[in-house]
Amino acid sequence: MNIHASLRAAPTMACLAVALSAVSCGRGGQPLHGVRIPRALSVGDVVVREVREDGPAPAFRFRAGAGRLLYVFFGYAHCPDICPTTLADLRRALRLLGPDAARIEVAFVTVDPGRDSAAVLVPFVHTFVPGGHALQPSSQEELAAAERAFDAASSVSRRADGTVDVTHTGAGYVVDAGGRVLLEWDYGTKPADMAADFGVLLRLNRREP
Amino acid sequence: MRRILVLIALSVAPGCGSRSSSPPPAVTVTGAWARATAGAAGAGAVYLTLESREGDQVLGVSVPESVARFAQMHETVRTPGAGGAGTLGMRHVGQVALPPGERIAFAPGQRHIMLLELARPLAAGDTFPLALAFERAAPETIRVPIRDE
Repeated sequence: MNIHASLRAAPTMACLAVALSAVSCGRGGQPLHGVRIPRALSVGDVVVREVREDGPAPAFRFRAGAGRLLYVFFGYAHCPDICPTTLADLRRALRLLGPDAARIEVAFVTVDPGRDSAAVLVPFVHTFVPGGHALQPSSQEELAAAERAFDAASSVSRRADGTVDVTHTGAGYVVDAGGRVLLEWDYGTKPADMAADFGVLLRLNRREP
Repeated sequence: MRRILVLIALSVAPGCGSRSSSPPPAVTVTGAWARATAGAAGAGAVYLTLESREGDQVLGVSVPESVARFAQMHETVRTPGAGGAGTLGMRHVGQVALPPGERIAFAPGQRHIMLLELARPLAAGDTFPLALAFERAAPETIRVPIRDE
């Protein structure tokens, strides 16, 4: 069952036609904020190594638990601006969500596994989301496969003077239990808008297998 | 009468700062803050807003070595295309223009002052000094509070 079929089951059917244009609709025709059209991305079979401070973790698969949603972001721990800002905004969104925040899982994938060891990456993620999954790809191929699945990209280049330039797609992705990307938020999406969208999607995903 | 008018015009004419007898007014710095960091391994960011009544350039920023080894001005760069949403990166800028009367923001996603090789984590509630050098106005040192978000 693809995303369009699952959304059709909800009382937002009339909005699906509108969803084919630049705006998606939530409950009662209210637009979802800062949302780009999901491109029917299926990421549920992608696996990336998870790291924890207290030892190895099972490989992480990009699908939420039943009745939950998974937020995914690609970034790096040495990022001064975009990544901390996005995670701080996400933290605020989860606070606004209240008790429902327990149904949101978070995964941060480093695009710079060379510099982002577990000792650096885990505290960075947990500063913002205490239960967040810190994902450190075990190889360039593993990172590339994950990015391909999300239609994301990144680059890490080291200059002669030792400085490192990193680029990465700054979008946040919301994935359901079936491994489908339900929506994307551009960098800069406001916490209140994220919380509102989470609320809508949690209601739609209450009965997802 | 005309002579008086000419004298008045010359005394208020902009762009004569380099030869005027009085120094240009200070650059106004407001809203400075830095985000707390998890540890010292990453990088820090300082945000603030600058305004120069007559126009100026920010030529550099610095912090004590007890805070970080380097402070640099960076701007966010968006590259469309690669990947669905494009990619974001940053570029070190040597100077930042302050057009007359314009508020220039160092704000998330636009510009920031990056602190590299932090001497210790930036802890919420602490403060540290940040020095700014300008082309025309006298240098200024401000106190930057560290906040959680």
